[in-house]
Amino acid sequence: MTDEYVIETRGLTKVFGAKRAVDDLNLQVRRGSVFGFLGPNGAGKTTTIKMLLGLTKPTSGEARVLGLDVRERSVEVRRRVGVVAEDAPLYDHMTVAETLAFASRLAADWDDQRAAKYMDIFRLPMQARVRDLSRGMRGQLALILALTPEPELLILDEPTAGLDPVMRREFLSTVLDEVTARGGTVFMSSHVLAEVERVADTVGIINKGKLLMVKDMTELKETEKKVRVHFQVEPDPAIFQHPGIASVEGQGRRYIVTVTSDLEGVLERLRTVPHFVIDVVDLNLEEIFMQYTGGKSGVRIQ
Amino acid sequence: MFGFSSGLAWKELSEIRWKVIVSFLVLAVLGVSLVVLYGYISDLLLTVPLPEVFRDQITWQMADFSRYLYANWYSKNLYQVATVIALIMGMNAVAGEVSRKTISFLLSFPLSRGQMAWTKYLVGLLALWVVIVGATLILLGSAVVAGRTVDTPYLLAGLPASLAGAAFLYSLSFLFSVVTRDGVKALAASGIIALALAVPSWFGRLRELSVFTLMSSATTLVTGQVEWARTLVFLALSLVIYAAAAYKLQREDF
Repeated sequence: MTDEYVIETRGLTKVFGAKRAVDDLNLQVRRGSVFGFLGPNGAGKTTTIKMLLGLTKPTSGEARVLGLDVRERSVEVRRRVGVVAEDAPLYDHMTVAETLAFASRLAADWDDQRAAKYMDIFRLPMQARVRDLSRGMRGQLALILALTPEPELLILDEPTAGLDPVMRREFLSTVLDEVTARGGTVFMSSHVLAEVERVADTVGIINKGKLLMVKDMTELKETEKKVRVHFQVEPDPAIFQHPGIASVEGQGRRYIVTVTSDLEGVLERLRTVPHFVIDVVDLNLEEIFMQYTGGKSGVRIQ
Repeated sequence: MFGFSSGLAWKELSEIRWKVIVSFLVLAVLGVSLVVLYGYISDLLLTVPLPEVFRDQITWQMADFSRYLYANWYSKNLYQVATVIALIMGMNAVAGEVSRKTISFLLSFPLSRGQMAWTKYLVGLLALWVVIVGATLILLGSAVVAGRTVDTPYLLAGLPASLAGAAFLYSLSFLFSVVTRDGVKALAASGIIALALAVPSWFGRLRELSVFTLMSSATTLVTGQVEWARTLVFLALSLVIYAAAAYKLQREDF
């Protein structure tokens, strides 16, 4: 394991009874990146994050965060990592001011001036009880608590769930401005694909505990394409037997082919059949995600 | 297992402050009532025929104000109310964090589970002891204000046993708070165990094993001497139960 990566897992597995919540996860998150960890509900995102923070013990495998073994040194890990957990669990009976005071006593490297700067950005009412804050304001308060110690790594677990689009944008802008500008790393789990597409430079997709792929966002968009093809004659199904083809929809002479690699090779193969049109279309992240998680019906080429 | 976090202690104190205040007020009112009622009870007993089995004992207790106060404070009121307070103090120590889902927030700070366990345990225990000691001092103070002559060393001799017994019951409740992760279940489980622990006190040979026999401090009532040996045994048992709770907490997934 090297300094280049802030998160590294090898064979990380968590089993709850008969369910493998996380299954043999091998993940590397590069220092300074914004990593989008995508997956449907129950895919294993939160369990992975809890293992990275030492809240949940792995059944097997190993995980290092900032080079530290999370089994042995989880306190040190949490000293250097900021966390915004799903639904921003906070003490409802405390006021915003009391919550900040509480965090200042427990967090490492707390800076009141920095906290005040974030309070100015989000304009939260200091004397309001946490229970009276809107969901968005709770998320903002949780973000202030996580950002104030200037963590090397910020872990966000579904941070914008329940926020309206304007608030979501403001939230993520603050994260990007504050963390990536000073060379920090953001690891963000989400199932809101649009926001991940906007902010992440690397994407990992997990489903049913299995990591299905990790790719650089630019590379992902370059390699993952959809090809619309209208053949002049009905093709032999064998034409679609190519390792770069992930799925094929359609029948007769019209097909939509999803390509995950070797676009040129696939096009060359399709062009061997007489055709009227072969059209290459970019996939957005949502379509790529659906492709990997099987969220869309379609003929999956074995 | 024994690390302490002052930041967490502040939060714990703030969360249990109403339990502490209400418990203290209940016990203090009971204490003052005992002082105020002494004259009335003495007069009443002169007019009411007492059952023969209790007559000698009651007459002996009522003959001396300090003895009356001791018997009615330690052997009747304090241990019963302190038992309830101890179980209530411990029930939500960890279970409350789990049910409110704040445990993941708390453990997102650089705080070890040992620090969390010991800080929560210690704050609850000290608060419980402050309530017991404070109410006992109110009892003594109100006796002085009422112009009664009080044997203070004799009346304070029952405190160590009460504190040790309360610590034992609080530790049980704390353990179940970790094990069940549910405050109500923790209260029910530790309440049932506490009731079961009362059983030995019904049998002559087993009496000494009961935590309630210790807390009611009948031996000290007669001798005026602190029961150090049994007090220390129950304090040690409290620590063993805490260690079991801390061990369990180390292995929990949140």
